[in-house]
Amino acid sequence: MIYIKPADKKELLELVAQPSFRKNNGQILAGGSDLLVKIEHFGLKTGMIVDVKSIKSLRGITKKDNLIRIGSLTTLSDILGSKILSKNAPNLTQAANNFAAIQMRNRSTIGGNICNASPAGDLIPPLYALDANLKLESHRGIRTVNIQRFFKGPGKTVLKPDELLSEISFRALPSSTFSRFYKLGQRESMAIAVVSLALNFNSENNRFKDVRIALGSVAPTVIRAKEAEKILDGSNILPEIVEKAAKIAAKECSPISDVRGSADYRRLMILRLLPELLKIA
Amino acid sequence: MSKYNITLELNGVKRSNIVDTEKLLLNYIREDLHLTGTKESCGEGECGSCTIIMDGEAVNSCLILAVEADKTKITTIEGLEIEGNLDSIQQGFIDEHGVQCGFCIPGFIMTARAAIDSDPDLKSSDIPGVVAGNLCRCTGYVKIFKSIEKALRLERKR
Repeated sequence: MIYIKPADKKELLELVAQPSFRKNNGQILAGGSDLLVKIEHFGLKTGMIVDVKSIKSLRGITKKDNLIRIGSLTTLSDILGSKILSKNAPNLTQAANNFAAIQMRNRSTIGGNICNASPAGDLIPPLYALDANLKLESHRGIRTVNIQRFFKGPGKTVLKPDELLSEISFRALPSSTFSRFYKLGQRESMAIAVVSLALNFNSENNRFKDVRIALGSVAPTVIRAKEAEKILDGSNILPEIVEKAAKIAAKECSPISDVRGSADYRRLMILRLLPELLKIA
Repeated sequence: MSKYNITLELNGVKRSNIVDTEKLLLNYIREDLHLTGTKESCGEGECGSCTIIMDGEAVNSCLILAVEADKTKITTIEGLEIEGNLDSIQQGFIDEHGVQCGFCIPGFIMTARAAIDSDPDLKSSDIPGVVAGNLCRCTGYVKIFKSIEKALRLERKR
């Protein structure tokens, strides 16, 4: 197995564009928490590992003119420790806090969590609720894709073989926004989500405003519950409205039954948990 | 290109070795350096038995390639005792009878060591969260928490 550690982004983008990268089924190694499990336990064969961790320009969190940018190699520990994020994107911080445990958070990266494209990826629902944009780079150029158009299915994304996710960006939330995340797992630590919910919303004159609801582990990709959002936006904050929205959100899901829970259970949990997260207080 | 020369500092000793690129850091430590205090249990980052401290951070050595440890500074459980004096967390586990079968204990100690070193204000109530990525199949968690609390008291007395 060839091991290469490109020194900078330019060298990396040239490397992944070479035929030898594809011929060897080359793999990008960031935190390794998904890749090495696939190699060691799930029979993934690769002849080339490209270790991107030393590319410092791809790690870090900045805020300028209300726009927050996160480098794809930023670790979960970086995210959890970031005051910029706890102040401007609280549900992303909450999701990082629920992510595995210290040993994994020290290695795992936001880019890896996104590109692994799990419907249960912990950071993905808050990034849907934040309407994040993803910067995809190759030696051919740069394009920006909204996170809602990035995933094609479990483990599948629109990334081209020579393309890499370099940056995640979104607008800072006003401090008045209610920003919440909830992961239902089979236990508190290390659990893969049975369902997860990320919400951002404002309240104005006792009405819901700017409601964003993202649901994880209930469809082939994370989804936005757009019909439920429509019901809530501009409506009075009343239990019957919230209940109606929760029923619609549960219908917007298309979950599967697996070892973590049945499809019916997942729908029921969305129905029960959404009203809790929409409480004003 | 399937071999790679790595140079690192492990438990205060400079090491330079040629390793297979496929070799896990865990296996480099156990098989090449014969330091078998670091354990493998699940091999997929769930249990924390293989925890070591790499550049000041607790990490699972089963999910890191040996080549990734090039130019790093690593501490394993063998590196905690200094000239016959046990680390306060090791002493805490003895004083509080925190060890049952013992297989998971090096991982718990390394995770706790990194946490105490990086947070001088770490409180007893933080301990369960700190070691959330370490599993004890004897389920002796209460005594494990007490052992780490004892270490906190021992270190703050100094």
